[in-house]
Amino acid sequence: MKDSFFRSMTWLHTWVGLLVCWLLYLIFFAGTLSFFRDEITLWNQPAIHNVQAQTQRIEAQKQQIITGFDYLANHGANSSSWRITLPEPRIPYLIYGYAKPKELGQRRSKFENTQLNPNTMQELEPFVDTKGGNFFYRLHYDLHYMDAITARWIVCFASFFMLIAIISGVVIHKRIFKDMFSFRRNKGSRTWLDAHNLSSVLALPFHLMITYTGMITLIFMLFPYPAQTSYDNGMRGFFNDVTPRNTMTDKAQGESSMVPIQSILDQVYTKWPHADITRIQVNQPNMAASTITVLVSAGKTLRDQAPRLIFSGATGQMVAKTDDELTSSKALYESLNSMHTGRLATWLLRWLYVLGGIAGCVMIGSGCIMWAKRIRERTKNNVKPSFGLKLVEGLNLATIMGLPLATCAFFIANRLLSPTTAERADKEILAFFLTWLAVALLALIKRDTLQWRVMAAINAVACLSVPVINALTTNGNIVSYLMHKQWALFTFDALFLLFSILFFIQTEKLRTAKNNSKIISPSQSNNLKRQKP
Amino acid sequence: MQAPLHSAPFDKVNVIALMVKSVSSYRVLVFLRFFIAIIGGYAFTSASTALLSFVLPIAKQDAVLFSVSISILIYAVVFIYAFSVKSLKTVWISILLSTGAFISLLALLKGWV
Amino acid sequence: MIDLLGFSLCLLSFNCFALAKYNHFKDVFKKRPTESQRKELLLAAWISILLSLVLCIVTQGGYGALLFCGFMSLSVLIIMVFYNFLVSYVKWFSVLNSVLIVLSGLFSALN
Repeated sequence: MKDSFFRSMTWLHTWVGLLVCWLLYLIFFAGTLSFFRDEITLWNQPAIHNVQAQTQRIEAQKQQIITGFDYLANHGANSSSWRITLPEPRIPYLIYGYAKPKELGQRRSKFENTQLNPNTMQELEPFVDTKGGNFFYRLHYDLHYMDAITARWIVCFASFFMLIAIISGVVIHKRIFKDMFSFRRNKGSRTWLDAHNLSSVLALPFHLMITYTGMITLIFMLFPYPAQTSYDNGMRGFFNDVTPRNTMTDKAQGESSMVPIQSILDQVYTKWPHADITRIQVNQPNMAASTITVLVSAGKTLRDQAPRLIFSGATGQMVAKTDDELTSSKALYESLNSMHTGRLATWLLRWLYVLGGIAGCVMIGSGCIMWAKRIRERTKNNVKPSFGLKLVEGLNLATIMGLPLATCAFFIANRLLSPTTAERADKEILAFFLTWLAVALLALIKRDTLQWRVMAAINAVACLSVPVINALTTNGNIVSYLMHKQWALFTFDALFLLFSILFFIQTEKLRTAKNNSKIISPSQSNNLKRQKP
Repeated sequence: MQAPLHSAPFDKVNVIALMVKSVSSYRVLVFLRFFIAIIGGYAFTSASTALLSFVLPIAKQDAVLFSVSISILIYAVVFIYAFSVKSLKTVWISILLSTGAFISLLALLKGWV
Repeated sequence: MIDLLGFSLCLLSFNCFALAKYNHFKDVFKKRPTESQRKELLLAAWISILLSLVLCIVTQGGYGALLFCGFMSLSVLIIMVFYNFLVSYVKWFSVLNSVLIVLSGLFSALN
């Protein structure tokens, strides 16, 4: 019985893993980049490169909010909604925005935003149209060019298979702790097995956590049934129950002047003396039913829903708030969600998350390469490789080498497209997918060591060109970032240089590797992975 | 009913290709097992979490949040179970029966019938 | 600095875990460990890993457990690199590790 359990788990691990590994690689790749979502957006938006972080960020918030209310009262008096987004440690600028009248066919009205430098309170240069880090963030669960809900179901399916592959992987890796620190070099598929085992074991808690919590973030799409049975009006009833809402003055009719924002801020600071306010939203300003929502940072607690207070704009009375103390079920759910997003992680934890993400990419990548290599090694020289093997090898090359190149193309397009290009953000994304498609087409033709070498060389050049093109097209470059202590931008460029070097090393290794054309990739290849900042 | 699934790791694909007869039955068995694991597991999880959220003696929103938080765990356990038990018949019967039992219990409690 | 202490404790722990294995001990010290040496190493490993966990959770709250998982990943990676590619430096590395613990511990205690 035990033996058959072991064998069925081996079978399950192989096939479940192989079925979804390329999609998972994409999810892990884009998800890892999403940990640097704000930094990528910063890099993509040269207008905010020179905004210095404030020295007294929290102390300045009160004045920024008061100024913002004056600004919005003058500019958006008839708007249906106002929003003040305050600078955060990773997002250095300030936004005052009001909703424009809803156009026909729009689900939500667009916002007219004014971005300011919080140090000088001067308006920033116009922003270029780019999705920035949000592109990768959306890509990792909404994919692209397809309906978001369908995409989320596909992603959930792949994630669930990932979870199954992890569990069955732990079962079949009998010597999990025995071999923990061993790595056999230059042993062909053995080396890939060790790379696979090591990258899985070293970040095993991370892999389990990120896969499980990833599905939890979409759980109400996956399993709406508990909410539907417990609440008579289904999901809507449930959400109304969980999110704090104004039920005291929402029926009030007519116009009404707003209370001074000062009095509302006083209430906030009385409740939370050290509040780090992240955003203020005003719904239906200048109406009797208006509400002012103050969101604060959750700080060190594991909470995904930002703690908030909701005030009536007409009376200044507090009408709703989030719970100060979460019940244990809520705390469980909230902590699962916030573990996945790591929104408030410190820079140290963020880098450890990235390490886990890279380990995940290595785990998935080495897994699919290992499958192809093993089948290759078993195939006799005179037997033609099966279609399945060719397909797997092609997909391996296309995803593992194509994604980094596509990412480079995305950033290069960001710098080279003129700021006035129509639908600029979409064209950046088009550059991403066209590059990926090109690599996939090349992988159709040939998948041998030479092709891997060519792709590695192209990747090395592409990675190198990102900081170079940045230096040529913007005022800053990697040296000036270092001099002016612009660490986010410096790290971004430095990582591209680092990956350029790694790809170059890979090219060299592939050249010196045993020239066995039957083997798709070198036995010596570095297990340092082709992952981008 | 000795599922060939267990004796067919990937290195035996070629051997299997020779035995055309067993190919079809092997594929059918794999399909049936994946079907019960994915669809049956989903149904089992949905039914059990719905029932759980309804019977837990805590506030409604807490019950819902707790049951959705553990739903993936339940699903994963059922999935692994579906692949670890040798007899496909046992898997199908146990999952269908328990799901049916959960749904009828829920229907009884909610007064759907 | 308290993070560094947590991390270096975690690193020490995995260092001890690795040394407690016959093949790695042999690589480093050119002889087999005695049974009591292995037991001591394992004990030291467990104590320091628990200390690291407690430290992370006490100082960082909810994010501490995540930080600890990250520390474990990084430690295993570093230990793997040293024991497979840089075996001759393991002794120096262990000394550096202990110095880090003492320094960061002193620093945290003084502040």
